Amino acid sequence: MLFWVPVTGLSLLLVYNTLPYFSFNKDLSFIEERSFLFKSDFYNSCFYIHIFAGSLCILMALIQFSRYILKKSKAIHRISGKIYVSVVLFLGAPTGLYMSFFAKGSFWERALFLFMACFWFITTLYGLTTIHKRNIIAHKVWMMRSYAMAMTAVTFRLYHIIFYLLDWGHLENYELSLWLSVIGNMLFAEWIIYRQGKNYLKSFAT
Amino acid sequence: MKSILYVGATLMIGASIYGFVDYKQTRNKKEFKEMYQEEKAITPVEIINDKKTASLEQNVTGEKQPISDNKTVITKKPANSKEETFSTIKPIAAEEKMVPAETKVIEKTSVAIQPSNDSGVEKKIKKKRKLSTKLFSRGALDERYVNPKEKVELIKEDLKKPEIKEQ
Repeated sequence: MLFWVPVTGLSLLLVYNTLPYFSFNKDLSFIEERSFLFKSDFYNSCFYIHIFAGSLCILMALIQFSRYILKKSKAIHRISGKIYVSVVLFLGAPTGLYMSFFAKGSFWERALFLFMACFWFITTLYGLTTIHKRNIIAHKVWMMRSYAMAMTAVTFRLYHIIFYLLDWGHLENYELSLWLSVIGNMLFAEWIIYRQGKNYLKSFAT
Repeated sequence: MKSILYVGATLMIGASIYGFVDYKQTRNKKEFKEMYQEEKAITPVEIINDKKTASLEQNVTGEKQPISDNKTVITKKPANSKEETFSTIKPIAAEEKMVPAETKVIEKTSVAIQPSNDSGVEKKIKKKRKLSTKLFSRGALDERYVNPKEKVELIKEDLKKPEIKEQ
């Protein structure tokens, strides 16, 4: 509960802040900064697909991890899961991969975005294949990793604001927030997997 | 299941190839290179008056030497020819003598450069950054994007040129 309240709040805030982009107004800071890239129709469409996919993924994932919904109705979990997987595999990851070439920062930040897109795709795909094989534990593990990657959007913004309030330079803030969000989320996911695995093994012992 | 994998993989490979090719074409463009460059934000400055600088007051004194009245004009005399006749030079009468009416004595002048009210010591004003839900966005948290209307201005009040007072 202590974990899910801020996660849900921040996820909803992220989706809420994404809504102005769908007015297709060019006065928004993200678009203003990349005005040169937004001249390209392909980049433009990739961007709008990506933010739509990202918002949908984050909303769907909130339902996916709810034990209450899973117990009450498995159908909701399945439908939202299918939406999540298809949106990641067909929309979110490929558009993210294309956009990563033009991402802000040095070569390493672009490489990180590339890695994120590939990692998001692979973990989601593994999550899908494991559930098809009825391997629920592996499915949980891979989906946690996939969700951790999706949540970098939230944690990035969080770090970005913190460093902004601490009066950090814009580019340093951006780069550090990016690395912290990706590595931090991955480590956090692995820690939860390890902890849950430990508890799972303990249950056999007792 | 396999069709999902194939479609997804095709999209990923296509995106990576197209992205790489597109990036190679655009990376040399000037607009792309300059896109993410940070503009130096003009930070407001405050002029502090309390710092006194003793060395700022400068006295410029200048002495001018009086111009002497007696001017000696040296003229070259042409070589005298043998046939030349000399006329006697009469002495000039006392009334006819040219004497200056007044003798001007140029006073010592001292010019004091007084510093302007602002001593030129600038202090950056730290703007308090306010937390807002709008900041929770992927957009750049740069002053020029966060407060686009608030064009940061130099608060330097008109830097007066040093006044020159004649005493």
